[in-house]
Formats: sequence, structure tokens, C-alpha cells
Amino acid sequence: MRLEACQDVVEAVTDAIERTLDPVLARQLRHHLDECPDCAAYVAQVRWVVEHLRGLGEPDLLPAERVDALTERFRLRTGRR
Amino acid sequence: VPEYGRAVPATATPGASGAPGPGRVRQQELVAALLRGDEAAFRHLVETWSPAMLRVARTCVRSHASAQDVVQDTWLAVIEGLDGFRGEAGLRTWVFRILLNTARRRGSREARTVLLPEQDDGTGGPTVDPGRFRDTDPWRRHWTDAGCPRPWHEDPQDAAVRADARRLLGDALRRLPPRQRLVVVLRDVEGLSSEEVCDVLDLTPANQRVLLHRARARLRQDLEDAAGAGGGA
Repeated sequence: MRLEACQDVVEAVTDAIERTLDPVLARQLRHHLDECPDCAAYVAQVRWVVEHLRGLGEPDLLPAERVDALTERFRLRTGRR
Repeated sequence: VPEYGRAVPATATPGASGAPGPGRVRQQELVAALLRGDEAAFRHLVETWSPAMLRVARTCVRSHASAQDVVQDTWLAVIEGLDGFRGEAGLRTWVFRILLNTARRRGSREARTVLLPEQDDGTGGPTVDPGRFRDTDPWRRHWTDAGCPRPWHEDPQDAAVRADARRLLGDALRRLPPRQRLVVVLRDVEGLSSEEVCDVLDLTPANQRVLLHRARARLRQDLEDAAGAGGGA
């Protein structure tokens, strides 16, 4: 496999971000991105997605009464051990 | 300069694709504390892990209340199963496996219909419309002028633009096929490692990679489409 065309780059983007790309392909990718602003933009956008996914969603807590009930159950259960 | 090649262990950055989870040693200490019946440790664990568990459960069930039930049932199963926990896969993997089993069971009950096999499910095929690439030499398989990626975040410094982009991303996430959504939520939203996700969802590494790849490509595409439609993110 060679990583030459833009169409190869878009399919290699996950391996690139995960850093699981074979060293030869990684070199080819770097070379391609230096020459191709469109692919550089594509990779940057996928990176942007990954970065902005982190912790997405409203902070969400288990209600205190449920935590209390669970802790009580834990206490009873371990008491029987 | 961004690095793309395989990380060599000596220079590998831990958790390069997300913050590291609780390390193995820390998890072993936790298990020991739980087996001793350390209530404070249990309570702390419930409080720390439940937010992520609620978000993950929410990808399978219909309501917030359902997700809370799923998380509560998961912790009850953890309490019951603790004595038999062997710890090979790590505490978090074990807890999330129970969580996913509980959430999926409840999710399919709530759906009340037989779930159709997923169409776009971790098999090959291009993630970017082939029509966006040239089909003639010398630049075959390179972007066409009209097909090249369109920018979507002009001003990342602007708080309103950022909030809008996050909202769009959340919407796009909810539209993903279930398995893709689960993989990307566990990996990218909650920061589990690829090994943990494979264990939690019973996926091969290759399958996990393909689902993640397709999910991220689709999210990017959705944001690009939204920007093109005047979404303005």
C-alpha cells in the first residue's frame, strides 16, 4: 500500500491520529500534508472533532439519594462477607 | 509538528487520544479497598464514574430516568459480583461491560421492535463521497475544486461560535448508527483506551478501528454540511 492520493489520506486519518500508522506510511502522509492544504484541512477538522468530543454532554450526576441507597447496599453486602 | 507514525513505547505519550483512565495500579488499589468493605472508596467511585456511565447509558436508552436506573442496576450488580471479580481486564472494563449489557437489554426492551441489523456498520467502503475526488489523471483520486473540504469554524475564539459547534456536534453524535456512536462515545467522549473499548463491546481491534474511523468521518461531514447550510458553526 502507498499513501499518495487524497483519497488514501482521508482513509488513513484515524490511524494517523491514533498513531498506529506504519512508519513508512506516516512519512508519506507527512509529505502529502506538507504539499496539500486540502488534506491538511481535512485532518485538522477530524482532529477538531476528536478534541471537541471530549467530555461532550451536560455534566450529569447520579442523584444523591441513589448514591446513598447504593452505599447502604454496599455496607450491608460487605457486612455479610 | 504533529506525529502520525506508530508511537515507540519510550516516547509514547500516555493517553494521546484522550486523557488516561485510572491506571492499572490505581484500579488494583480500588478493588482491594472495595473488597475490604471501604465505604468511602465505594461512594467515591460511584460519584466519580457515574457521570460517564450516565452519558454512555443514555446512548442506549430513551430517557434520563432510564439511564439512572441502568447505572443504579449496574452498581448493584457490581456489589453482588465483587467477590468473583478476577481483575484481568481491569475494574473499569468490568464495570462498563456490566453497564453496556444492562443498558442494551433495557434499550431493546424500550424500542419494543426488533432492531434491524445496522446498515453502515463497521464494514469497508469510503468514508468520503468518491464524487469529491478527480477521476482522471494526472490528479486522479485527489480532491476536485468543488469537493475539497469546506471550512466550518472560522473563529474558534468566539464563545458563541464554540457553543454552537458543540451543540451541532452533540446533534451529529445522536444521529450516528448505534455501534459507531457507542465506540466514539467511549473512546472520544469518555476517554477509554481502544483496548478497553474492545473488551467492553466485544469488538476485535480491527472492528473497533473501523467503527471509530467511520464515526469520526461522519461527524466531520455533518459539521461541514451544517456550516454549508448556513449553520454557521
